[in-house]
Amino acid sequence: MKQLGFHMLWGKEQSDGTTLVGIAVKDGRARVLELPGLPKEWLERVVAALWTPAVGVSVVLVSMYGFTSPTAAQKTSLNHLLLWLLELSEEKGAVQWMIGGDLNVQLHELPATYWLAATGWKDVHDGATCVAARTIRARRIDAVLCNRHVQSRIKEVELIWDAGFPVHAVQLVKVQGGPPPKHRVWKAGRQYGEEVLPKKEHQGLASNLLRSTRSDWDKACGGQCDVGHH
Amino acid sequence: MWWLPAATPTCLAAGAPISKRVDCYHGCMVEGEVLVMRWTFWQERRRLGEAKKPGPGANQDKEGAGERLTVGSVNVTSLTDNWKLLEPLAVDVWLLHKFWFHQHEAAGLPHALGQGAK
Repeated sequence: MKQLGFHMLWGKEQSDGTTLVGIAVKDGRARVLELPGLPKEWLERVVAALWTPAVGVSVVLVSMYGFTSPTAAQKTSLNHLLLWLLELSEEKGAVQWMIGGDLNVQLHELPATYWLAATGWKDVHDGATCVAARTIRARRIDAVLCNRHVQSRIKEVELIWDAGFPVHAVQLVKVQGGPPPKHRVWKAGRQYGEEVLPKKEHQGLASNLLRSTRSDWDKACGGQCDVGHH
Repeated sequence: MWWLPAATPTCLAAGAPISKRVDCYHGCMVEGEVLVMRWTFWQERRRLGEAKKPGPGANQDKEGAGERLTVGSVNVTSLTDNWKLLEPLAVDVWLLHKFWFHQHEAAGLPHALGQGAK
């Protein structure tokens, strides 16, 4: 194990001296990314890092652990957290973000999911990830959310059930390193070619969509449901 | 069709009342404040026939196509107990959830895991 070379980034220590979340980085360099404004109840349950791999561009990684058997208030809190992270990511421009977590909630239970979708975020897989002894149906409560800047780099996603972990599956995402990936565009001569998408085409798009979606949401609520700002 | 404002006007700022933000968004002018709609975004798209012709250097960016990085996400319950399960998967980055780990062990763990903090 001495040769593994992992650099560990810990979450905030709990009162009993234990830590709930972490990020282990082997390749490249990483540092903890401070999240100013992170809601208090999530301080010990969220850790973020800026990872700069040896190949490719930097990625913001977030690891989170949701409340077990969450109450309605805790679900609402998780919803707000995701919206807050979403807005934070969009403020950073075309930066790659990956949020992996045991949310202890299925995404469709959270209104934030629709906002994530509207701004181009996707969960990397749709397979169930959790089966407990008393569970009737397997559920996908572990999500790996990626914004659109990292999606085009994803080459393969794998769910592993036989790694030896109880209850939960391991999720592996293989991403392309190197220069920005090409997008297929229609070219003269009636054929498709590959080009790097000009940055001006995705600058600010999601943040604007998010504002539009927020506006629609606010309108639907009649101005009574403020969400997302903490 | 989505309207794409070029910049956030003050009435859309986080601290502004929701009702004001909504009013601002659905009308182009509120209290003398004008929203500039940046719909030229759509006009700036490359159009049919304007794409560059593929030349000798067209395939240059294929370098690095074989470089793959792997990000794993897992509920590990106990880092010290479960690390041996993660090791054979040979992943570059692990996002770990629900693991319990005593901070006082941190001093020893970097040596156990490898090269320690950079």
